[in-house]
Amino acid sequence: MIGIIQEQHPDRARLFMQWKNMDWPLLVDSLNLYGTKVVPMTLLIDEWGIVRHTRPRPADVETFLATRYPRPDNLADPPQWRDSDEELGQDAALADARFLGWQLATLRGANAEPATLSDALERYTAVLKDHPDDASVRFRLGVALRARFDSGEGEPGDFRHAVEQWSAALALDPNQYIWRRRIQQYGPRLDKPYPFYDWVEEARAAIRERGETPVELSVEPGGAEFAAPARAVETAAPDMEEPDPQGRIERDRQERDGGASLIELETVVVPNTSRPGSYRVHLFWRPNHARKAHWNNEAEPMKVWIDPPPGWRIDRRVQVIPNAAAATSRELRHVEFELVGGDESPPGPAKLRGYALYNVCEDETGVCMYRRSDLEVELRQ
Amino acid sequence: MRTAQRALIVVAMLALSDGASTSAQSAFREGEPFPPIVLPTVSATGAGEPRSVADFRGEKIILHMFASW
Repeated sequence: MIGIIQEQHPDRARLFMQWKNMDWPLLVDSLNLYGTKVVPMTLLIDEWGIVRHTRPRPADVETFLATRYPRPDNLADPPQWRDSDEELGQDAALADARFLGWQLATLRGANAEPATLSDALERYTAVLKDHPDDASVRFRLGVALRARFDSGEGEPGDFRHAVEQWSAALALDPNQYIWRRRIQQYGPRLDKPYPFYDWVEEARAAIRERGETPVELSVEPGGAEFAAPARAVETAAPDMEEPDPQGRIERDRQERDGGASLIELETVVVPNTSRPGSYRVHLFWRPNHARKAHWNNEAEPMKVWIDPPPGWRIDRRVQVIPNAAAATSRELRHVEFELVGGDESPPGPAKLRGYALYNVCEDETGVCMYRRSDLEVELRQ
Repeated sequence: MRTAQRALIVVAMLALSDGASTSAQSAFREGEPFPPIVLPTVSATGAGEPRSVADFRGEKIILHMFASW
């Protein structure tokens, strides 16, 4: 028995295998190279690699196992894992090889070279210049962008660009169910939330009960990936008052040339794939590396306040991000929330506003301060 | 894994697959080779060698294409 899993985050596949005690080979097809449009699917493949049944019934399995199939005349040599580029030429296949090589190194816990992944991204982009309607390559570019975002070596905009590429791919091929689900797992929870990763908690509990340690996930499933009520980042009560209504807290901005703030904000808006006017917004805050900024975890936790556009509904206006355990840290901080436009909301682009309040220090032994960072996000309808 | 266990798993998977592929055409055709793409493999303990379906030539394969969700 062999499995091929469609999964953006391969360590989740490992956790799944651990939970189910799967001991058969599992191939990871994050890029959807197989072009699979539907899961689950079972195929019966004979000893020469020929598909014998595409929708087997139990009786077919019996027949299949008992039949000795003839060797085909034109049996091809098995393909090799390609690390070198001489045979592949300058096209998407080389980008695929780069990405898969990087992914394998990451999975092994080896030093996966960021340059390899960036090379894959450049090659996908180059293919799309000549073939802008190659939907599969657009999807793969999105997968690689999101992977770079998750690696910690991402560039600003990687996640947002991933969503843009996936959306463009889906627009070219709306029947691609795997691509649709890839967007939905980061998007609004839909009218009927889909239990993408509700199994994770159950798996972890079952594994611990066996006396084992669950596989660690590099990226925890987010708000849209559970069908059950959203896991709360906040520890504050939902009806918490606006923390700085008069805007009295000093803004995080540099007065000198450059204008870079201590904490940099990135926003990603993921639309509902079936219904316009519904979004999941992701906000990411990253300490500015050049200014040696870091979070001060010895003061009050970070708060985020959101003002939805007039007439829009939001699932949470205020969120609190708990401090990390160490006195200082530099992790990426993330909140997400959902908005739905109402009948009373005016047509055209809508803007949501808000701000974050946080304790931040500059330099390892530098000045620490409490700052506010305003934000504005456009929701195109 | 014992043969009986494997057989049960296959039957369960077939039951799951049956409803899923009704409207979508299968991209894989009976009588045609299954494209042997080399992909990373994973296990509970880490990552294995890259493999393709062609590495299992000589053995019959019950292939399950799925997502954890």
